[in-house]
Amino acid sequence: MRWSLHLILPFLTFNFLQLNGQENWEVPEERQGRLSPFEFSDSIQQQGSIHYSVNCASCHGTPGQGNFERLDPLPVDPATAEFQENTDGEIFYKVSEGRGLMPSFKNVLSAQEIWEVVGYLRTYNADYVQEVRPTAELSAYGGTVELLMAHLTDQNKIQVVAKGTRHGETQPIEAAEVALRVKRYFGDLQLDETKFTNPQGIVEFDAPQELPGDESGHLELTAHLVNQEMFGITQVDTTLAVGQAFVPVSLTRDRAMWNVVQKAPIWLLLAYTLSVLIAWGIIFYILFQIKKIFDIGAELESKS
Amino acid sequence: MYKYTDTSITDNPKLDKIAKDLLQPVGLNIRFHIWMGLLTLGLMACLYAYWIQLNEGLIVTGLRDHVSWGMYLANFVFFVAASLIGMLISGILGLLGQEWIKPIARIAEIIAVAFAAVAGMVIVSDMGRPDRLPYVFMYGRIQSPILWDVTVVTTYMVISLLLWFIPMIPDMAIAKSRMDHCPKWLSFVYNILSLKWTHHPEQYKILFKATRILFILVVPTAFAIHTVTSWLFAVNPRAGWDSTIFGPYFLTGAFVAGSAGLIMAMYFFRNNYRLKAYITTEHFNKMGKLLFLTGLIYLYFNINEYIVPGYKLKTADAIHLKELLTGHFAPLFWSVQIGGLIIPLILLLFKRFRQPGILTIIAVFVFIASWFKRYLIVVPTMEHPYLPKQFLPQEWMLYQPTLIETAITIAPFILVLMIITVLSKLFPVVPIWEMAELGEQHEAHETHPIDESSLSDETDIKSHSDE
Repeated sequence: MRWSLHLILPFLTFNFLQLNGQENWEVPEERQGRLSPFEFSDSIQQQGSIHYSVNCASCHGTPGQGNFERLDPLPVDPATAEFQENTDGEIFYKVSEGRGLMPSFKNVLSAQEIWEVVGYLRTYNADYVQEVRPTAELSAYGGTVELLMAHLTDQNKIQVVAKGTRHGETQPIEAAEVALRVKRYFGDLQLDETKFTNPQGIVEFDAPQELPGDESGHLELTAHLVNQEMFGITQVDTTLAVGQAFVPVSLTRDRAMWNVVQKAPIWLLLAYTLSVLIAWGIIFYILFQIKKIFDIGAELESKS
Repeated sequence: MYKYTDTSITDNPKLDKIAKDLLQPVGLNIRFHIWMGLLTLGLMACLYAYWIQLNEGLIVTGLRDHVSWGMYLANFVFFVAASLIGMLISGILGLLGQEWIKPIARIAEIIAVAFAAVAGMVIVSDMGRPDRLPYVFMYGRIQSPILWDVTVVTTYMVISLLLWFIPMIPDMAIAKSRMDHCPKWLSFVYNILSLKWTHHPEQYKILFKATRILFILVVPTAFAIHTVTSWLFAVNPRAGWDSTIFGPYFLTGAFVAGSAGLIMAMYFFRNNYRLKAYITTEHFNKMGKLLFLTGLIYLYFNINEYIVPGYKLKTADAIHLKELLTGHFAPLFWSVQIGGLIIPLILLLFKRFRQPGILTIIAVFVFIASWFKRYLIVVPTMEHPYLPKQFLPQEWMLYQPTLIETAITIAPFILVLMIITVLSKLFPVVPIWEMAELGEQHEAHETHPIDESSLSDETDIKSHSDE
């Protein structure tokens, strides 16, 4: 029974991958109705359009132009009714998670930025009326939440502390899920798995020693609380010297094939110069010989 | 290897007749003027096309961002290729001691000089800003094959010019006293170019030494010129160019094109210059065999060049091969491979197809196919850039040469014809003194194979001149 499942499973998966362009993309119910925590103002939509052109346009094209890349399955033009039927929560989910050829952007864009993209895409829907997440739901916690991040040099760990202030009282937040990410060239890299704060509101991650940082080993780190329903969008960005110092060497520093002529490889300079000198040396020798032919003739002429 | 006395050439009883035969076509007759007039008219039309390109830019051609090397570069490769025949005949066959090449060696050198001299100009036609040509020398990077190419093309042209001129010095001396029917200035030119040649043994010694050194020097130079030309393509990782055998592939292709060109020139001079006694059927037979040999090697490289990537089928190579074998380049590709290589090779196996007339017809096909083969090397690869292309007009991706571009491509051919015409009309195309010396040797060794054929042809020409 078990082995037959092993045989069937790849086919099922395969079919799923093949058909995913045509099949409905089911979004978990609890995510469907999720709403943006802020209003899609003009400046928000402006931000969203920047994120869109950087991250989405290469496949989905300019909304409304139908100039999306001809991939299989076809990327959907966000200005179409088919796309706009999605709820805000569904768009947010699909952008975050991705599927098949559509990459997951949850490590590339922050929750704030994905919502900005949603806001931008809604400018292509004249009938759209935004529903903002009610203030009461913004944070079930019911107060302000603050994250702090520090580098514990002696243990070489990154410590994140979650503190909440409600009813005028500041307390550590216990059992909050924290994700730590570090900025890389394309999107963010999540470090370790998400961890839960202890009763003191503290969570510790191993510092990523092997990651190359800037010239002093600085890495741009972001910690955020995963549970948005509970705590709203809460994150802290810090630059810590936890990575490896990386001093980029200019590719044009040393002699190389691709460098300017003054920095050409020595062997090439030698080979070229020698070849030219030898060939033209012989040519000039021959010209000299021709002159000798002339000299002999001239001498014979003067004798006769 | 030769023993000369002061008088061995000048006292040769055959010399008078040979000099008369070989100098008889020299001189600027009315046919020369008409022919050059026609060529000049054609060149003017082509230069007008270039004037338009100079004013409006390369937009008047079919060249765009993707296909920036079109017919012009194919033409350049072809010109460099055709010029290599000088090295094959004088250098390789000459060094191997092949005596039969003597009457055709100078023709081969004329072709080499003409094509090499014009090849550089062909490149300029591909430049949007030809006024920046000096930048190649001012800011040229020694790492770039383009600089190497400029260097070797120049060097090869100079060596070919010397290889054409040095063996001609004794002829100048022989001719200057016999050119009664020629204008005075030509005698004057002969007098200068004869460099006070007195047929002194010491002068012959220097001449043989100089040419022998040049024969050796021309071989690596010619190999370099076409290998470097192939590297202009092969140093790119693009499908169709990314090949380690591009150097030898280009070289053998060049020998095919050059041999075909030489056969055509031989046929023309033999009939128009009445040189049947000197350029014999045996020469065509031998050139036919040479064309077969070079063609066979080229076919071998072709098989290599398509089967190896065709077996691995890397994505880009697969697209490229599909375009060539079954795509929109297929008609041209198969015409070139079958009509310009396979059928000629089969025909050349039979002696009757190595007769002057029929061999020349075969050579014309091979020559034209050689040009289109270069087109097939340059253009299909350019039409498939590695970077993804989006939303571009069709004309950016698919290359279609324009009329202006075609005219500018024809111009170098006219220039080559003009150079060949001038060189062959002002100077004897067959070396006089070497023919006289050959005849002398034949008398010594009665059984030389060329002797028989040349004798039979000589009777031919006698009857011809009796008419």
